[in-house]
Amino acid sequence: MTQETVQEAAPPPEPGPLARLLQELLPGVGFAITVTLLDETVTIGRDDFTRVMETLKGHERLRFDYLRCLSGADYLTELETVYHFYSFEHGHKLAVKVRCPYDDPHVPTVSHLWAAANWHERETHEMYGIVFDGHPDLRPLLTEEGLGYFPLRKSHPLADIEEWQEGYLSAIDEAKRQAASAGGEAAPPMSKVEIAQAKAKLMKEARDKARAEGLSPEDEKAAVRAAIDKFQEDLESGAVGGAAAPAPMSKVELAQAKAKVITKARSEARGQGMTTEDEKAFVAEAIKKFSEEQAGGGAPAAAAPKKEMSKIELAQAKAKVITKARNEARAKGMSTEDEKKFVAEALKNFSAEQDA
Amino acid sequence: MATIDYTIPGEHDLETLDIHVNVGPQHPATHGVFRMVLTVDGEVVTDVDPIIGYMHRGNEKLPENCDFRQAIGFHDRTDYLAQFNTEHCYVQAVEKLTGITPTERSEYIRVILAELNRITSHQMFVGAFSTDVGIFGTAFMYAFRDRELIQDFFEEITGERMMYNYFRPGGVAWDVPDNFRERCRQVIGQIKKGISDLEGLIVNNEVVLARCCGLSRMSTADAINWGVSGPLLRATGLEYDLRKAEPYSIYDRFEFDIPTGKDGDIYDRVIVRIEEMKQSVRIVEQALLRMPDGPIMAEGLKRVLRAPEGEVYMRVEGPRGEYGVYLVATGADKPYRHRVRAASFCNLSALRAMSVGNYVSDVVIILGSIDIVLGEVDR
Amino acid sequence: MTFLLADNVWLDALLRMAIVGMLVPVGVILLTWVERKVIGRLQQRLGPMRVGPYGLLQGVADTIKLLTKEDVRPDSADRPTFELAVFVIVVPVFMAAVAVPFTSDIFVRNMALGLFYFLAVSSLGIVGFVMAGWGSDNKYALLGGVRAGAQLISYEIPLILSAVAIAMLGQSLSLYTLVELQDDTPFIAYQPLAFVIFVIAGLAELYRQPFDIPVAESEVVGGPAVEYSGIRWSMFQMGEFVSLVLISALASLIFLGGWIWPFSADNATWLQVVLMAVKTSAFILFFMWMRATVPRLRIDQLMALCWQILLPFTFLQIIINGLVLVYEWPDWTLTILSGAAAIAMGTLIYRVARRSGVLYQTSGATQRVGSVL
Repeated sequence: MTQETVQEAAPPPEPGPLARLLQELLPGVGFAITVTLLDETVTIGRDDFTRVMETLKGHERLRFDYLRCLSGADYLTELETVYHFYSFEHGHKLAVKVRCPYDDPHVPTVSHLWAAANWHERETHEMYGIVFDGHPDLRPLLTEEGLGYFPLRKSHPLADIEEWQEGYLSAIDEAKRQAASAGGEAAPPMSKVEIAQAKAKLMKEARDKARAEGLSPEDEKAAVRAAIDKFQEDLESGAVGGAAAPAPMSKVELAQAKAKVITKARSEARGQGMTTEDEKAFVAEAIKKFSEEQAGGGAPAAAAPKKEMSKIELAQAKAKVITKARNEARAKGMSTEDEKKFVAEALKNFSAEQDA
Repeated sequence: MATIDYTIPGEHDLETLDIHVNVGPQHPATHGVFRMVLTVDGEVVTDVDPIIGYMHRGNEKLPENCDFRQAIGFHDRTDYLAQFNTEHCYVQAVEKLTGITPTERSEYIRVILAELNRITSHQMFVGAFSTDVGIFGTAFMYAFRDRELIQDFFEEITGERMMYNYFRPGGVAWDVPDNFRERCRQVIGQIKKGISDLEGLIVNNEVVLARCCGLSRMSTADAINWGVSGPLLRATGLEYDLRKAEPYSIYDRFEFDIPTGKDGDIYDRVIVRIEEMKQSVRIVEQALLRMPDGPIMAEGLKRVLRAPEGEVYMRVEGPRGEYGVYLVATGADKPYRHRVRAASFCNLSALRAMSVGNYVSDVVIILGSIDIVLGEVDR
Repeated sequence: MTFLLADNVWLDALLRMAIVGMLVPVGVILLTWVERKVIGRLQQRLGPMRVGPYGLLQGVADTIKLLTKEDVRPDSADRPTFELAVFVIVVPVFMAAVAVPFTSDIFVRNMALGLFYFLAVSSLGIVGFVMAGWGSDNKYALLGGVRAGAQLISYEIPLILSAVAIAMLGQSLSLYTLVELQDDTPFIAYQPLAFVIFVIAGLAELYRQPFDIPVAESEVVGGPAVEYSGIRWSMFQMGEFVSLVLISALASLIFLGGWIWPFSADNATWLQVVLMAVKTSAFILFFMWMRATVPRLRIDQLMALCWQILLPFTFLQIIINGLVLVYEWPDWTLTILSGAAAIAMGTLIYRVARRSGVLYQTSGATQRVGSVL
């Protein structure tokens, strides 16, 4: 904590020799000097960017010939690109930063000045969505094409990535479906996997039928082939792949539905600001409810008679109490001694309740 | 009887076709899950399209959600052949941000381990490279015999063979065993013999000379422009080593040379690496002599490290080149931005420039000479 | 000179062929074990140790595995070409085995044109490699098949011509006669150049290191054999190992005096067997040693070595032989001339390999296709 306060009070840093040189060589360009530990760092505006970069590379007193690193960074309102340079001729090093707003993430490319920037810019583009104008080939490098989101942005969550993606993807599907129905078209075409599955099922049926009829292997093959051809025709004409009658949920669907319930419950719990323990309990409750609904066709099952706790359950409950008490104590800012006492008291209360 | 046309088709009457050969992601020459699409005209490669990302695990994003000490383990998993070097870089970056000074003894331990790790990495390179050139596993087994010694030594110290997770901001996790010096000397003695064995297999081998000399020559200016670093850059004749150019840790206390090549061709890259192993041995020997006793962890460290607002781009000389970590701290216990500058990522980006116009078999050894580690390329 | 296994000549021939057909696979199983052991030892490993004493039954286990493995054929492969290719590779090898006498008694057929027949038949295998490369519908296989075609055809020429040099000397194409002529001095003493060329070209014909370009593991991952599995793949292996034995046996027959040298022509059969076994295995072990030691050449260097070095020197050897035979110079002139030429060739190869890097600098990257010199 002390370190932070010291940092806040620090005066704006003095420009180093390189920054002064830059100011001298590039009059009219605004340089903001930031805190540095190893390299001198200057922040420049996007408008001056190309001019500054060309000077950095070309001017004989600067001659930054080595682009050692290019990083993106997300500062929530702005995106930043950081260039770390080294000059083999003069042995000096410099970091240059340029910022661009979130809704207009464009920075001119430097890949024509330093070939090393080529892959770095591709990576920064896919990770942060910064578009490097003039880059010859901005295909994604590490992730697949058409990902639709920028993984290293702060708005991209890490912990709940599956839930987030699920919601995201289902939203896309929903939007597509709505658009399709609004246009008066049939339901969206089957996905490739679905088609393959349907095809496999069809083939199996045809084969079984052929075997049941006692056809020769050649005829059997022909029959299967005919069935596949018919399926392809149907697929192309749109007879298959439309909305089917609602079938009972498959296991996968069930699991998906369950996952949705869990996600919903968790976000609700978080919205209410529950503790982790309570959240878990809440989610468990939701799952229980869901499975009861599934089993009993939605009829709420009668409350199960309260059973006596097993030893494990007892220990778990106890642990819960302890954790809760400790958290409370910490939140109140108690000393270690007091905290211990507080926890002991809570435990005592708990065992008294149990005995009763 | 029908007449037969006996005219021989001219060069332009025959239609030739470029074919695309997909090398990888499962191919013995790609050293991991790397893929390149070669466009070949007969045996000559006319275009190379490197495709990476099969091992992308979000190694830059994950540490942004871990506290400073937890992120050490992720650096073992970037360059998984030079784990100590990467850890060294990261803990120094954190130390720079937080203002911690590591203890004297831990600095020596770190340097010794990092240099030994450099040797293992180069041994791995020599072994894998010789397999690429076509030696049926012999040099590979020789290299691995010695690598195994160092790995055992590392295991005795850290309890791990791959993901050591041993360095900490301010020092190392625990002290080395009592017999550290003797064991290290013993290992070093055998390594020296092993290096001369490898030299005998590779350096003066006529077929290696015929295959590698003059192949894929790179000028210093090109190398700098492509952001190439490490042995590849030194092979072009430039005497540039971060341990000397920007001495970090305690490297300014040791005497060692920077081996360089002349032409920047494949052969020079191999020679530079073999010479580097010898220099690393020198550093380790000096460090063993001077290693002091004392604490292995700086005093007064908090349980949770908090770095004040600031940023640092820390770089070290890894076996593959400049390994850098760019950290932005905002006063929290986690890095706000955590960027890994991987040496083989930058070196690999020059693959196309190096290999177009060469034979298919040459592209394989050019790729081998870059010495990529896919964990580092894809992060 | 011979003894019959059966009274009927046809039955006798059939029996001998059956014995070859039985012994060869067993020999191959043993040889794979030997190769793995030898290379293991060279690499400071033990090699197979688990199955049987010293891993002796490893080959048997592998064979059982290969026989029971699924025979996969790619859907897009050209079926007749793909399935026929392995036979086109294996059958000529067995046919060549017919002509090779292992001792004065143990052989299938003692042909008057044995050497000619052997070289003619064994070169048929090239077609199989090209077929496998083409029929697999795989780009690695295609590259490997094209490489195999180019390499094997090229190295046929020095191989045959160096054998021709021996035929000139012995005035015969019968392997039996050629061996009998070497009762006091083996032909290697008169023809060191032809011997060196024969071994190099033989190594290339066997596509072993440093000439394993068609099957290069780190480039074309097995080349023509890449799409084959199970029994078909093991036929590739069998062809390779039988050729290894045959080339080694041929080299010891026509250069090292076969079952006679250094003893007399009327050795006991067991001594003949021992002599041949020692000589043949010396070659086999040499080939295995090379495999574990040297890297692979590039295809253009390989071609340059063949057309620019080996071929001129084989012609030189034939010219030397012709001169000596026509003018009836003493035998030692052959030794001296051929030896000098062999040393010259060795020096040339050595210098070229050493200086090739320097030469690249002057010739430039674009002009160096197909030239080591």
